[in-house]
Amino acid sequence: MTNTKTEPLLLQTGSDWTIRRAKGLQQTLEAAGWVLEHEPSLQMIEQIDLCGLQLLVKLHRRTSLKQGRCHFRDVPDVVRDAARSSGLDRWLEIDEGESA
Amino acid sequence: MSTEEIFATFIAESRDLLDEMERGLFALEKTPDDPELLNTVFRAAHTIKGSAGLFSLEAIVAFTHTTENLLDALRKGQIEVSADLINDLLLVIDILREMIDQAERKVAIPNDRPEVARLVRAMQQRLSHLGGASAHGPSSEPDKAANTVSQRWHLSLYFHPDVRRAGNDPVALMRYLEELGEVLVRMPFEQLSLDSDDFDAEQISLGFEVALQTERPREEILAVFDWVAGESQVELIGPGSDLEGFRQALQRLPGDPQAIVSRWQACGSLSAAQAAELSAPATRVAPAVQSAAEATAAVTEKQAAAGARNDGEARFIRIDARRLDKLINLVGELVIAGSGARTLASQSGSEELIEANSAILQLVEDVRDSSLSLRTVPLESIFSRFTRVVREISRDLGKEIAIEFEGGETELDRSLIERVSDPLMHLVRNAADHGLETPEEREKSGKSPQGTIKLSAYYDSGNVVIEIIDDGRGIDTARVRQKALDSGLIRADQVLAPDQIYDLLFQPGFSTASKITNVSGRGVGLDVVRKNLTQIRGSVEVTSTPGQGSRFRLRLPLTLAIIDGFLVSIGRSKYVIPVDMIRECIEAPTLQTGNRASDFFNLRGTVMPYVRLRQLFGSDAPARGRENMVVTQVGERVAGFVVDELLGESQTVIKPLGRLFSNAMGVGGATILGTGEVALILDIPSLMLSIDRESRDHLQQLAA
Repeated sequence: MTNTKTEPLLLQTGSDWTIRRAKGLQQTLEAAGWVLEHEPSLQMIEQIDLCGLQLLVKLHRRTSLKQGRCHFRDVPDVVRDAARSSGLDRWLEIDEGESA
Repeated sequence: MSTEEIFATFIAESRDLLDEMERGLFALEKTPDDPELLNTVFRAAHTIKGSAGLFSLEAIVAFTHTTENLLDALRKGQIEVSADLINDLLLVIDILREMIDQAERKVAIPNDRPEVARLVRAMQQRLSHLGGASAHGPSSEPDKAANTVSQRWHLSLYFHPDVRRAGNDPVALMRYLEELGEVLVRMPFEQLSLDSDDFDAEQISLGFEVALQTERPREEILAVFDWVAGESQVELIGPGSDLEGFRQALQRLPGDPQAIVSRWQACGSLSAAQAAELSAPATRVAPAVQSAAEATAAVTEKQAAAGARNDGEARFIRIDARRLDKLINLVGELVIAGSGARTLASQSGSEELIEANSAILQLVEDVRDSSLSLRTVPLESIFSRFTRVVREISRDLGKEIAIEFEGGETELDRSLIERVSDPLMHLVRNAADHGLETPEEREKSGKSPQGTIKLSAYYDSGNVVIEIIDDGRGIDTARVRQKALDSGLIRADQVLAPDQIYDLLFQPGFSTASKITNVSGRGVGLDVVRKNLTQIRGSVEVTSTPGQGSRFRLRLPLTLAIIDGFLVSIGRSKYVIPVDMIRECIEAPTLQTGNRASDFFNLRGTVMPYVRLRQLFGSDAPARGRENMVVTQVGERVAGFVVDELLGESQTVIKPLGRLFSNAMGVGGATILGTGEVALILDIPSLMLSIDRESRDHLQQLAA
């Protein structure tokens, strides 16, 4: 993954957002300066745990700080359910709307 | 620990818990009012349900949930233990075992199995007259209104930063809470700052405040966090807790008290007035945590205190058996390499080198023994299976059978335990079916109507011996002989000693059963028993007294991996005899055996058989001077083995012989010596049997 400080990072960091890949995801996102494309899609995520959710929160927060409001789009059910169960849906500003 | 490893732990623990449940149920039949037994069985079911929930194994969760309800009603004395109920619960265990197997194989677990539906219906039927809480969920405090009235609880969840590394996902736990009632509020908060430079994606930085509306009791809510207890801090406050409950929780929790109180207020668990009172300076007992590192330290300190309470549990760790196998293999290689080094040291003639090498070899031996002991498990782990078998056979055959165990603490290599399980099962079934009489027959013979099968284990001469003893009718040697004659296994003029007659029982297809039952009597069994035991260097022998019962004695090696061996030579070939079986070594007197390999020898007044291995193995290498005799003892049998040279003790790493040599008589394996040479390991028990046979034939010929 290249440093995309000048070119927003597309959220194509793999389908596994659990502790198995958390370190690798962190490194990728750090390398990209936590800068995302506008309203990044979460469509690729197939598995997520609290480690993954924390990364999303951090990503959302950092991106919000740098680019203004960040909305994730194409949120899969697996992410929506995990966020809802943990109460992080509000932090992530994931709406109750249609899932991906 | 990877998710796969955690899942493997879940599978292994679930199987252990099901075994524990089964043992508990059998014990309950005898002491139905034992509250500790009821609690043990309940806890096992509860833990399986909780753990299965973490892996989203919904079929297991649903099935154990109903089971748990039934067990809870038993625990509360609302229903009584009966044979039918125990039968149903044993079937539940069988089905759960199958479900666990399916989960392990990653096969979808069907949730519409008819037998599951039938059992669930039967369990619900038993609960139907109770109504109320027990029909829906377990509780520990039946008298409290809290069991039936939905009430609001507050949970403050401070997860250990490494809780995910240990395999527990707080999201799954939060999800599981939803099954207990309605989660009114979920409020995440940062225990460790997500913006910290120390942020570690594998650590859990978030904690949670949760308001839960449920009718379930405290114990059940806390049980959701059983798997993280001792690591993480869970404060459960309420329901209807006065301010003191929150104050005490505040004192126990790490972090800024003001922030905690604010969160509780925001959750609606505290009113503004209560929050103000709690925030008064006197309650600020914990200093504000300044950094992520301090927060971690604070959490860790509290958890260390909790961990100290769990020292007893921490004495055991679960290890993948493959890792132990790898360790044993490496120790085996170390032993071989050590023998090589000893040979070289000895050839060098350097005293210092020999001494240093000897010290290393002593340590290698200690490491070997410690490593092998890691892989041993007590036999009681399989003994308990037979309670179930005997119970079912009693019912099927209309016999009254008691089963007794002795020496269950005797340990055996894990790989042997599994391989001896089937032979033992055959023998127990045979004892129940053929050995024991019906209650009427027993009473006619002046015996108690209840027969007994006893499983007894003990160590003997470097072996583990397992005996299956019944107090039944004994083996009818005349009938066995007649059957053998009819089957053409023996000639009419053949004179057979009792042990030779018993030996016929192990011939393929041999059965004296007059009718075939579901239990045994198909002539498959004892031959398979002997074959399986031989494959693991074990043996089986039988003694029996008419009218009093039979005893099947299984002799097994302690391990399949490494033994202390004694090296001998015949010509240029070297052989290993297990040291545990050696009684003494003597210089062999001049022995005349003619063409036969074996004969008898008078050793200080005791006549014993011996065999000249040179002749037995057909060695044509020239003899070198006087021969030696190794006197061995296995159980009560004593025999001498005449060899050329005695080469001394040697740690022996057992390597199996190829399939081609599986029928090689008297050889139990091979080993690699320090010099790189291969030596065969003698199977002393089977050699003794062949000596017995040959000697008996010889005596018969002389008598004729």
